[in-house]
Amino acid sequence: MDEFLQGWIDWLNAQPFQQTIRYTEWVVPTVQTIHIVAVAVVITAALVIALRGVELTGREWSLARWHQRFRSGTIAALWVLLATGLVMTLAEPERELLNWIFRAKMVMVIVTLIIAHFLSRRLEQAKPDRPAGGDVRAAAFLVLLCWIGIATAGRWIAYAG
Amino acid sequence: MIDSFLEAVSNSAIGIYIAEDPMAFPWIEVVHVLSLVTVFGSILLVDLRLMGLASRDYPVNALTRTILPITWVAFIIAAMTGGLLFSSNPYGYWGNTAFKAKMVLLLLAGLNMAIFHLVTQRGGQMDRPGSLPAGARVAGFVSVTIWLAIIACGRWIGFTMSPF
Repeated sequence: MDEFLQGWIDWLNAQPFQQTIRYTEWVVPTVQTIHIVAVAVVITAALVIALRGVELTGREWSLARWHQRFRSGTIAALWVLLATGLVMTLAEPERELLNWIFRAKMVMVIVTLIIAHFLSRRLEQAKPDRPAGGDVRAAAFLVLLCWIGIATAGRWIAYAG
Repeated sequence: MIDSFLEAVSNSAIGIYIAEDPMAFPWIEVVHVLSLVTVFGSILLVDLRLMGLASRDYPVNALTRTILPITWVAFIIAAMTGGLLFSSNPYGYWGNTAFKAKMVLLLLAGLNMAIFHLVTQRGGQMDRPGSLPAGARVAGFVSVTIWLAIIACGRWIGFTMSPF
């Protein structure tokens, strides 16, 4: 697999647009800053939903209302994460594509999105005046832990390969 | 005075450990980044409400009561881990423009928050849903701008100096 990817990486590294992204000093730090801001939006939403599920925060709103508050912002932030992630991968393809932590991170992202999707559907069907069930509370904490794991893997890409 | 402080930090056991152990710096940085995104994300929730861009049916006083404890816990963790990262290379950080800018911006964020809590929030009209006085909207805008700059400076530190 690495040999196949190396062919793509060599091709990418020979493209003028890739060289521009890679060697323009401000591009990668700026894109990483936007990436971190989007991470903040996603993790904060997951944190508040998880804490609200166990009645620790935001009691003026039901869990369903908090979910409604965060839904569009989280979806927008996920698109931003995808776009900025693609730019970072384009800038340094060998650092990402040949890195086992990056690959683990991508698998975790897919698994987390599937769990978050099912959690989202349950919260959309939830009645505002009823407390969240144990499965919903557990899923909310699982989603939070998954995003924390993904962010942790993201930082470790810089240090390990 | 600053030289003796930097030298003391540089020679401290914890500073030497973080600089030399290959796992210490990355793990501390992970916790720093996670706590910082929580600080920013939770402040953004309040700032968007102050600016009238989201959660308009959530009274500001109730929102700050429920969200700011999260912000404070995350901020304390971010400050502690930031101090540990600093101890690994105090001369390098002190000589870094992005680091100094980040510290100044943190002070400005604190000042903006103090003015909001001590003046604007006490001025009233925060216990009802809907739009807020201009002072609150300005405080929200200034806050989100400063915190975006803090995150940008944090990232620029990584690109303008070697961590060790």
